[in-house]
Amino acid sequence: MSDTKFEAADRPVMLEIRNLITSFGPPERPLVAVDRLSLKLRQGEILGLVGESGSGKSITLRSILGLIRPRGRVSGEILWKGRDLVPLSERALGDIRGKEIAMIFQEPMTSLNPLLPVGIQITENLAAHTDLDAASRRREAITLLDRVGIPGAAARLGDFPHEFSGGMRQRVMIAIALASRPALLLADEPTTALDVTIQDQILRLLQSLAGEFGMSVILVTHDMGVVAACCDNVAVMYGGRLCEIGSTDTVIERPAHPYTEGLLHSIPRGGAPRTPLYSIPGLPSGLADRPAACAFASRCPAATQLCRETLPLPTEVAAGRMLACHHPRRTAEELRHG
Amino acid sequence: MTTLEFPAPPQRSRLSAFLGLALRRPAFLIGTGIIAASLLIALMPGLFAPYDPLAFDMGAIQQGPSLSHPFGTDGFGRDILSRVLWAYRVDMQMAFFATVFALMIGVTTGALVGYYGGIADMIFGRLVDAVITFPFLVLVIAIVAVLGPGLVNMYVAITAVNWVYYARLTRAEIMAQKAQDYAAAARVLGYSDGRIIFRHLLPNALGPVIVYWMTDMALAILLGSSLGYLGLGAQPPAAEWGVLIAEGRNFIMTAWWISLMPGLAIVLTGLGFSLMGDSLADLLRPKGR
Repeated sequence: MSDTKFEAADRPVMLEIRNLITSFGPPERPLVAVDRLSLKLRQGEILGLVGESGSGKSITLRSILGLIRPRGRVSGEILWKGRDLVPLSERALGDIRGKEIAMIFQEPMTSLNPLLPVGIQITENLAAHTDLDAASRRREAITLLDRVGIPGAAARLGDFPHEFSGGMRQRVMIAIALASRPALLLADEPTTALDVTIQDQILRLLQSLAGEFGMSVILVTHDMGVVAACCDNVAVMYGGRLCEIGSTDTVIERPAHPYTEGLLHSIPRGGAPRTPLYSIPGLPSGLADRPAACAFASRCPAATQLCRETLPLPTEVAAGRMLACHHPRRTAEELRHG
Repeated sequence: MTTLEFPAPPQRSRLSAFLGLALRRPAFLIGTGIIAASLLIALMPGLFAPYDPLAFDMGAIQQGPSLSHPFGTDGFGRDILSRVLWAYRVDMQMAFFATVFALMIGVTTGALVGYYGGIADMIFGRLVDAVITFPFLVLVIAIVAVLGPGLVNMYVAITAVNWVYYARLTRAEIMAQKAQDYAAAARVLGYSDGRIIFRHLLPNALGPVIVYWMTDMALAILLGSSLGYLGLGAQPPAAEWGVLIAEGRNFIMTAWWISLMPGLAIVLTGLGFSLMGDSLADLLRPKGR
C-alpha cells in the first residue's frame, strides 16, 4: 500500500489549478461561485470533488473546459500539461475539449442526441479527433461499447438512445468520451441519476478504465460513499472554497475540517429504525451573501469570533494534506502520524 | 439441465416500423393520398384532362355540369375540369416555390441567430418585429406591386416576407435544443460550431418546422390564388385556380360552377397539406411513437 502511494506521488502532474476564481453577474458586484481554488492532479489519479449543492464543484469542472463563458468570468491559472487554459480562445479550447480532456454529465437520459444512433455518436468523436478510416472507426466503436460492458456491442451500434436504459446510456456516454483516449476525464456526478447497483458498476468501470488508459479523473459528487468507493484523493469544497484535500483513506479516517466531519457524519448507516438521520444544521449561504471570512462559520460547531472575521487560508498540514480551518478537529501531530 | 432457447424477436427495419405507424393513421393516409394524387396530376395533367384547357368551343358556352363536361364550361366554352386539372401544375409549383426558399433562408438564419444569440439575435428580433407589424398579404401585395405582377415576382415577394416566420420558429427551437444536455455534451467533445448546429441541433429542431412548412404550402396556394384573383400572380389565360375563380366572378349568379369548381380544388389540396402536416407532427415526435 505504501509502495503504491510513493509511486503515485512520483507520477507527473497533469493538471494544476492555481487560485481559480469563477464569478458571474455584474463585475462591480460579482457573484463568486469558485473562490481561490488550487489543486493538483497527477497522471492516473482519481480525485473526488465533494460538496453539497451550490458549493461550486460543477462550476470548477466547467471552468476547466471554458464552458462557463461567455456568461461567467474565470481568473487564475488552469495549467494543463503546463499550458494555461484560461486565456485560450474558444477555437484553441476546441482542440483540447474531447481530445485531451473529456467530460461526462449527470443526466445520461438527455446527454445523447436522441436522433442519432449511438454507433454514429461514437464514431463521430473518432472522426473529429483521430485519423482512423470509417472501417476502423466502426471496429473501434464496437471495441469501446464492448469495453464499457454493453452486451452484443456490434448489434447495438444502430440503436437509438431511447432503446437503452439509464445505466446503459451512461456507459454509452463513457464510451463516447473515451473514444479519443483523453488524458483527463471530468465526470460531473456521473452516477447520481442511477440506482445503487448500476452506480457501483459505473464507478468500477471508471476505476478500471483510469488504470488501463493511465487516465486522470476528476469525479464530482455529493456522495462520500462514491468517493470512498473509488477515489485516490478527495477535495472537499464548501461555499466555493476548498476545505481540505487529502488521500481518501486519511480524510475519511481522520477528517480535520468540521465540515468534512459533518459530511461523513451525514452518511446514513446502520442506525435503529426510525431514528432521524443526521444533517448539518443550517443552510449554505447564497452566492450574494457569502461572507468574506470562513463561509462555514455560521453552521460550524467549532466557530469562534476569529472564524467570522478572517478567512482561513489553505495550508499544508501534512504530506499531501491541505486544510483551510482555524480550528481543525485534529492536531497537526495527529494528522501527520494518525 | 437444458438451456432454454428463446426465439429471437422479429427484426423490423425502422422504415417499415414508421410505415406501420403511419398507415394506422387515417388522417395521414388521406392527406398523403390527396397530395400524391395532386402531384401526379400536376406532373401529367394531359393524361387526366379530357379537353385542351385553352380550346374555345363556341357551341358549348357556360354549360352546367354534364356527362361530357363534368365541371361545366366557361364563357368561351372551355372545359372547366380540364382547366382545373391543368391548374394543378401552376398551383403545386406555387405551393413549393413560394415556400421552399423561405424555408431554406429562414432555417439557416434562425439556426445561426438562435445558436449565437447576442447582437445578431437582437437585430434579427427587431427585423421580425418590423415584418410582422404588417399584415402578411398587404406586405406581399406591396412588394409585388413594386416588382410588377407575375409568378416569379410573386415568389420573390412571398419569400422576402415569409422567411422571417421560418427563422423565428427555427430560432426558438434551436434555443430550446441548445439548452439540452446533449448540446453541452457535443460542445465538450470539442465539435465545431457548424457540426453542433447543423448535425446535432438542427435535426432535433426541424420537426415543428417541417410541419409548419406543410401547412404553409396550403397557405401559399391560398395566397397565390388570391394574388392570381387580384391579377398580381399567374396571368390569364394560364389556368390557375385564383385566375379561374376571378374569371367566373361576373357569372356567379348564373354559372356558379365556373368559380366553385376551382374553389373546391383549393379546399381539397389545402386539406391534404394540413392533414399530412398534422399527422406528420405526431409521427416525427420520438416520444409520440
